[in-house]
Amino acid sequence: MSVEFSMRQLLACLNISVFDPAMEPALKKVCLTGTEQREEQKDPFCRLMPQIGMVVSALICFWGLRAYSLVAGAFLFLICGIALRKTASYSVRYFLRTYFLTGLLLLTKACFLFSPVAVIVLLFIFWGRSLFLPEGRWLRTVLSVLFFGYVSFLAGEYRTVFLGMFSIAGTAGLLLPLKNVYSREPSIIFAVFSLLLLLGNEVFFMLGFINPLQGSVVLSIVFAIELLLLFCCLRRDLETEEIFGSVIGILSLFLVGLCLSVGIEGSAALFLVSFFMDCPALGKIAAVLFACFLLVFLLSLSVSLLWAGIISLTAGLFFEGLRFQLKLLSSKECRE
Amino acid sequence: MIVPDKKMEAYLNQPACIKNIIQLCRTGILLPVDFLRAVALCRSEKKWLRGGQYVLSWLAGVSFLAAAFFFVVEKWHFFYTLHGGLFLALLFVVCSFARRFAVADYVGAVVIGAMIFLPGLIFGTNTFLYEQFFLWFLLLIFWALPSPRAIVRLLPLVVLNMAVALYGIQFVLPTLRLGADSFCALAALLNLALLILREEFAGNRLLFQSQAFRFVPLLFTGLFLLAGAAAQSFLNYGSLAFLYCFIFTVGLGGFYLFRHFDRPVCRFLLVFSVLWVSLLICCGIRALTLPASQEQALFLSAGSLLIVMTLIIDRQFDILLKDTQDVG
Repeated sequence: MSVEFSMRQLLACLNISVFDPAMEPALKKVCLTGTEQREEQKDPFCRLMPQIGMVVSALICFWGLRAYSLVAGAFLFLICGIALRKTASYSVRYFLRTYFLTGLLLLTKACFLFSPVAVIVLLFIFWGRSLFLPEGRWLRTVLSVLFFGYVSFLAGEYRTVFLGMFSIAGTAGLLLPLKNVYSREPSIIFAVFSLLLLLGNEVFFMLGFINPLQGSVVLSIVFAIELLLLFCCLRRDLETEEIFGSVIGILSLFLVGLCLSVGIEGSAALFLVSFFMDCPALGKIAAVLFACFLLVFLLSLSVSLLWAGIISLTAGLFFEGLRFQLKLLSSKECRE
Repeated sequence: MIVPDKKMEAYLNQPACIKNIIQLCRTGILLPVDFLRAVALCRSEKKWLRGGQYVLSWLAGVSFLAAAFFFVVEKWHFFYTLHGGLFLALLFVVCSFARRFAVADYVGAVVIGAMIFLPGLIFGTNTFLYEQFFLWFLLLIFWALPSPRAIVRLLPLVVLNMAVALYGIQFVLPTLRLGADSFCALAALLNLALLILREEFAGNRLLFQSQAFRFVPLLFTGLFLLAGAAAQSFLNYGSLAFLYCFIFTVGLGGFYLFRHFDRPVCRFLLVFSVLWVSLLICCGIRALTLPASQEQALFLSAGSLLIVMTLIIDRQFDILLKDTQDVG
């Protein structure tokens, strides 16, 4: 698709009339949210690198102060939390947010001894309504990460089931944005972190530190369900050959997950989801995860060096062949 | 029938993007099941095809490299024979003729190194590693200069610095000819001299025009100075030479930026200053002789504060530059 659509044209293509009186309140709300988003974009610290820097700094400070978790945590949480409500400067807010996060992590560590569930409940009560507003993006991200971490830590032998549930919830949230639900950040975190945790398990198992994750068949089925969900969302716009090709593709990926590596199936599913929802950043993450899972799979094979070389060469030829096909497709698109 | 006002008109006329489509779903204008359909209307297939080709070329490249590695290790004994040497020589000749392909250019540079290192391994000549790296550097100059790729033209500089580092580790330091800090300072001065040569005499030549020829010597200058300061701080902490080195490095970097303003170099200097200050803080905390938990708390808190302040300074500088450009 090389033509750039305006919002008006997009709504027209989807048979939504902008002159319908029933649409007026919703359209006004969208205009307002768009203005708020443009205001938020003015914050120079809302980019990826400063956000990563904030999290890394918070984690470093947390690690250093963990011997004084209750005192330091309470101090930072209260002081930075109150100061955040008073200040409007972007730089100062960025600074305070970093140490508010540190305080939160320290308090979480201190409270974890009493009840991990209580921490999540307390945070829900403390942040309350802000979580369900457009500007609550940062709060939703932090809470999702904490929730994912807690559940994964407490899951024990049922970790596979919970990973599957998180992955499906994340994928469903990405493919089907619901009315009045700001679920994009939690969906991305659940979908990506499930695969990250799976990768971590596979790497540590390969190195001999832990036992393999039980129930990889369950995960394979879960990722196949995600692909089916994607297929159901696209079904109305697919032609017969495309439907046939999709079914073959889903079955092939399911077999890859069952016989080779469940992580390869999961990361391929995530890549397809990111393509159809046009999220290049998520696509890059999925591609990197795919490469990591493939590498771990190859390294865990008990074969001779010669066979490892042959398998790598075959994989290289396969990727090069795919790249050539994409290049042909790309030149065909250019000619059209 | 409603008539859209100016704000709504402006909204309806703006290009469709994924964020706006999600907002439509959140407000109930668009059904969740229509989300992917809407995205398909404004997705750029060209961008995804290009991205897909890039990812696949990386995957293919890594797979081929892995295959080459496994085959070479499997057939390692083959290279110990005359046939192995002949094979490498033949491979080098093929790469020389096929230099217009990037793979041949890079493989050729590596094969030169292999042809230098293998005789030492096979015949047990007891040659020092730094001597082999210096020889590789000299031969690489002839290979790299005609290359159209900046990465290949930079390789001699990288190999030279590796040779210098190995020279220090294998010869200078064990024989106590120089201290670790003095040797690192001299190595840093060598890179600085190369940078000045490039700026004063070779900057206009096409061969050395890439920004990497400015950045890489600075990077190695910084790394050698940092290594020297770290070695000195562990051997003899409390010495003020460490502080003078830091002031000299930052001052030199500031002077360089004053003459040739470059945003990546600016960021590099900022990162470098952060590393220096971290080392200074580490030395200062060690001098206080506190319990281990307090030392860790102080150091990591100070480190975290340093990272946050660096990011704030970097962002504010970006805003200042943008404002200056807008005014200009």
